[in-house]
Amino acid sequence: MMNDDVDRVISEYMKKIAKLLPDGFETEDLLEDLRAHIDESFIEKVRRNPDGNKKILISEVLEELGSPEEIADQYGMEHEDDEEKKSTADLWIYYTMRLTLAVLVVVLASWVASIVTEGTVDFMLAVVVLLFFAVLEWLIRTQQTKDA
Amino acid sequence: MEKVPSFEDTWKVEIRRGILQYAVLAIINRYEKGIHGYGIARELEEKTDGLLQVKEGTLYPILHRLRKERLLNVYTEKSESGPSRKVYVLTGEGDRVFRQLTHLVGDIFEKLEALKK
Repeated sequence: MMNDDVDRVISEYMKKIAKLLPDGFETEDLLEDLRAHIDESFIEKVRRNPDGNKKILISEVLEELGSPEEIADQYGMEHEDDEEKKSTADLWIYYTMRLTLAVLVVVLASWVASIVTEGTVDFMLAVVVLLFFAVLEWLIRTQQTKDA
Repeated sequence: MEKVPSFEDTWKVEIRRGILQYAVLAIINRYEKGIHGYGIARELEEKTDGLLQVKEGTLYPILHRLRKERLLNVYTEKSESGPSRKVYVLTGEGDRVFRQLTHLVGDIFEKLEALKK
């Protein structure tokens, strides 16, 4: 029932929302719900108005759904309390675990790279390079989350 | 120049959040076998004559929050349009919280009425 134009409009809308929300399972879940809602609402509109212009109908659906910013704002509001609930101790545990995991992955990856290349890739150099990229990725992600 | 929201607009935003969570619980409570997100949006629009001015997409973060608080359970069913969709039902805790909130809301309106007299 959907044509390419309609699909494109939907996918641009979904991309905008995804960009405003943090990466993770919960966002994936939310996007899935929104997509199901769009499909259902669009099909209902087409059923009521079979000769209607599909591009206009999909824009009506998205208007009723709300702008990506409005949805992201509501998401933020519903998660404000979560942040408040996290105690300092919880945050320390969380960051320590994340850091430990990141270092473990870097060391393991460097070791594998060193073994596979039979020493051509220096283990220590690989650790330093991978750590550099891990920190860079973390900084970019933090900035993106702040911007959102 | 950006328009500064009026006092009423700000107040509406502040009060809307709690009311919406309660309204969602109230709608789900009416459906013993559960109701999907699209259905909740339709009910909310029809039953409140659009008073709450809810953008449908903003319901989903609320539904996720209520799930996280273990007030709602979810199962999936095949929709008429094809893809599967989530159906929301109240948990035992959700039912208890809804009853308690209903009592509280009744009390609040009663007292507010008394204040006006």
